Amino acid sequence: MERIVQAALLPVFIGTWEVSGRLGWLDTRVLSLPSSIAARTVADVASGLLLHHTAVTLAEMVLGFLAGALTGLLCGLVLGAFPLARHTLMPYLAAIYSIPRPALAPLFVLWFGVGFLSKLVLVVTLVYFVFLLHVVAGLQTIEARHVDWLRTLGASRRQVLQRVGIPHLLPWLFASTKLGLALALIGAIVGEFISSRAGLGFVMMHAAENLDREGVLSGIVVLSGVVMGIIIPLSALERRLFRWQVDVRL
Amino acid sequence: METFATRVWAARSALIIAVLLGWEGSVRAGLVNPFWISSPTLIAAQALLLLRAGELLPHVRETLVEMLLGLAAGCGVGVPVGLVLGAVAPVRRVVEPYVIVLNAFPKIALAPLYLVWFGIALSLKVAMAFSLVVFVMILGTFSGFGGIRQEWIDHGRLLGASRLQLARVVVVPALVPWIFTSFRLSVGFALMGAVLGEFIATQRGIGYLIDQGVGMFDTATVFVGLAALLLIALASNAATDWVAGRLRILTVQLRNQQVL
Repeated sequence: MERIVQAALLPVFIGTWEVSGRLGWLDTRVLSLPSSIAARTVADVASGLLLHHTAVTLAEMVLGFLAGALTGLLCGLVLGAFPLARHTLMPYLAAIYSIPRPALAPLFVLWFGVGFLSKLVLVVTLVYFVFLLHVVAGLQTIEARHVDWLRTLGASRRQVLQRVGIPHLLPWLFASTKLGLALALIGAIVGEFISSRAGLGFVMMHAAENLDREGVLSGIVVLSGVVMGIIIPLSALERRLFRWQVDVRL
Repeated sequence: METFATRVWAARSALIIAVLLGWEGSVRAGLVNPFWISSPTLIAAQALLLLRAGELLPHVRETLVEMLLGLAAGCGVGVPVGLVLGAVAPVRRVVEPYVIVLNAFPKIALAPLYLVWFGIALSLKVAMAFSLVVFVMILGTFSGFGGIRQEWIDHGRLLGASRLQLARVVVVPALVPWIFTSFRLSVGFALMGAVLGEFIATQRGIGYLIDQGVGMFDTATVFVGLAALLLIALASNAATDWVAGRLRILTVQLRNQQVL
């Protein structure tokens, strides 16, 4: 029963929207209609316009994510190994982390131009800190006695890292990947909003400036598709990989 | 460990001084053109200039107003909606996937839509802050119910607690840490929403100041704006933590991490 209601909720919502729009209960000039948004999305995708711009956004997102994740992970491991450096840097890193990074977007435009590079740098700054802070936090949750036991049994540093460090870090890295990908997409879009010549954010902002509501909404539909394409497989993978851990994280 | 603590403090102070001196020095020595990175003294001078001319505080006030309005509206809507959706178990199970998917959607992408709806008025910025905050608060409140154990309710019932007593003794204390943790996150989100709204369309606010600085290739002004944002972010975090400490509210690890 619950499943049926759950599955019916979305079609019912869209149906009500469509019907009340057609009956004139809603101002369609403001909200548009599901059917016309769908038609516009199909038209924009079919013309190849949206595909090209989506590819640009995805490239910014993926490259920025990879660069940010790798550097963040490395710096996190280094900081984890040197307590003095960690204690010295953490308050500064936390302060930088608390600046709304999208606020840096105009500065990056000034430094790196309106093209690909300024978006890439913005994405890197978002993803880097997520990985860095998660890795440092994850390393700190490792219980000292586990390490001590292994040491007592004569394990080398590398073995300790293999047996305790990496298994402990995996859930943290997974969480960082989820958050990092979401932030990477946001960074790319925001960068494009602020100034760009290509990308999904550019298309949407361009449509908004021409008061083309359906153009904006078709961009939002495509973006939702991208988000779902990322979130659903990752959540499924997380449930499989970390089933043993579910209770702990609650 | 006192020696370690003092070494940490020494290293921290040395680091910040070295960074500032290195920045200033490399500009003075002509290694880097101040056009790109400005310099600490240039930024301080520009901040003073803007302050004296009365061109800084009105922007700060504008951003704070947008941020606080968005935060208040987001909490005012988000907490009740979260309570309604979360309180009844079957409803909670039905809407849960929708809440999670909506939460994962980048709300920032709604900016162009708001631009069409609201134009460049104050409401655009408040709406941005609101839409970032409201989902955090809905999900936070909603998730709090998941943390209430059936045993607690059963124990309460066995001891003869009324519904009202159960709500007061079990439900509310279980929800407070969740709502508070979401609130702490929301403060930063509201600031971000306000500033992004200002980037997109405005004539006032810190975002406008930064945007204007970039438009005029005036990096010192850009850094003054960024410093103002940093101060607001740090001050509001400190204030929230202080209140939490005062009220002895614990924070929780939010399971579905929030994205803008």
